Amino acid sequence: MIALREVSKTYRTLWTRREVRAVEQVSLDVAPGEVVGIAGPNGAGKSTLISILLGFLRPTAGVATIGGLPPQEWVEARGVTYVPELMALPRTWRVGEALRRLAVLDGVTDEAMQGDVDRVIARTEIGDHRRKRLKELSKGNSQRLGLAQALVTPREVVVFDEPTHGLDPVWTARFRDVVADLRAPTRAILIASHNLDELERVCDRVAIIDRGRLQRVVEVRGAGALADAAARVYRLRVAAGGAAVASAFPGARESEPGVFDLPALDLPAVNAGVAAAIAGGALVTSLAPRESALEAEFHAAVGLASAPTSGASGGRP
Amino acid sequence: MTIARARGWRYLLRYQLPDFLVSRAGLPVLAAVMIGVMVYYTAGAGIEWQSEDGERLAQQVFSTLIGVVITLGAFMGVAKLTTDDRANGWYRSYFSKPVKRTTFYAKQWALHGVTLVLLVGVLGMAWQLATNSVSVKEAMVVTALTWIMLGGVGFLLSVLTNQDAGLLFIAYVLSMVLHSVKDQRNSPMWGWLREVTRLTLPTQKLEYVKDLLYAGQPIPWGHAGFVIGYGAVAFVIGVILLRRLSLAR
Repeated sequence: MIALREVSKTYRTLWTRREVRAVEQVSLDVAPGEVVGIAGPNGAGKSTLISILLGFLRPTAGVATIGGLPPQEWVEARGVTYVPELMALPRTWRVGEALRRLAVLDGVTDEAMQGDVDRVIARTEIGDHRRKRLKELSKGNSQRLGLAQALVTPREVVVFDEPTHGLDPVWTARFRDVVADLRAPTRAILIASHNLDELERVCDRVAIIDRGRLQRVVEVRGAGALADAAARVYRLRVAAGGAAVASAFPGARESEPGVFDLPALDLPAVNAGVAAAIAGGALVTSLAPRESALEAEFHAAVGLASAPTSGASGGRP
Repeated sequence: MTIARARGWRYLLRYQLPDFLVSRAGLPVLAAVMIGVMVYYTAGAGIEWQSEDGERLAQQVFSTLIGVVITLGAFMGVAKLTTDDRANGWYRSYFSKPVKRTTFYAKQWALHGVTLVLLVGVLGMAWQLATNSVSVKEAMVVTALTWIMLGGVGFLLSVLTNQDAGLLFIAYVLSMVLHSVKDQRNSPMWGWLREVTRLTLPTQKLEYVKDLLYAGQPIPWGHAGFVIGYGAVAFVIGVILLRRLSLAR
């Protein structure tokens, strides 16, 4: 449904005409029924890609289409459910008024208006703020308003740009329910986010972008998903018997007392090593991957130096 | 859920019309009303409005006040028409909906123009009721021409740059100065500057049309047509560029 083919976007500075390559030859497909994430550090080109996809920006090279149409044509004809990173609307509007205005643009009839607006207000729990002006809203409530306006009329294409930015942990968790509710065989969902944990929980695939280039696409769900049995770095915590751990895992590094970062091993090797450590007197308190599979892929793709920070702001074109 | 086809018109009349009246037309209209009331009760005290002197004063006050409403209203009506939405990122919410950006702004532009013409008509009729017969219909024609000229160029500028309001003001003042120098007898203007002046806003043609109309003469279609053509071409170029250029700034 969504297709990006060798899409590039280059900006030129006004005076020096210096080229800034925001996106370079990115190709990506999102099929109906799929939830695909876009991860990348600040300024990686995520927001530029989304702007191209929504028809707000024209690519310098390559082709972007939605349902076979240029994005602008698709959006003008059928609309896209879109939650921007920061909900930008005139600050003097009131919450209820903003929802009604956008619902009119969304094509909601007068008969359906009250019910639809009440429904999304209840869903996003912003009823207490209904009469507030937008300038009075906190970042989190503003983001919930963004979610509310998008949920009035769910469309075939859904695009979230940093959807959990500014949300508290409760609403970050509820965002997963929103995505789960929107998931449908006829609907393509694209989520750009810094939050790798969220992407891993809700997406089928995650495209990792760095310096404008698509570095890799990671399957996090389904047949091709990263297997737990693959070699990974685990962190082992023990209450006692550190010497036994060191002996069972020769390459282990004790990052702090009782905490060992094991060398990259597959599951059978880890289990065998832990059994040996316990037999040697180690008292294990926990064993877990040091980083999620997606984090590992991300770090491998973009390097640890540019690892994302949850909640940080992305560069906007 | 039923989707309405007439969403653009509903948005226009329900939200953009009040927005225009409150945030754009309100100030010039309020200023004109206050000054008009002041003149009526002070300078007009003791004047017999139905007399020849009264008629002259009524027309003089009307054309001065309404001139301010027309020019200021046109400036405020078109300034930042697309700029605010684009510079502030509001367009992201509007144009992710099934809305054609060109239709959205073209309708808004037309609404501002028509409303300004009607406001001038209402103000003129109110003044006429209070005083004497004044050139209301003619003022409405001048408003329409001013809107097409300033509104057309203003729309194009708002599509092209964030500094549209300032540039429109400079273009307007510069055009008036250049045309007044050019039209002087034995004008010292260089030949090339004369040619450049021809390309600037046709403010002198608009003034000519206005003077004739207020003098009770028929509309000079040659000059009026030029003013309409100038503004219309700028507006159409603006619409085409709005369609083709990126919305993001």
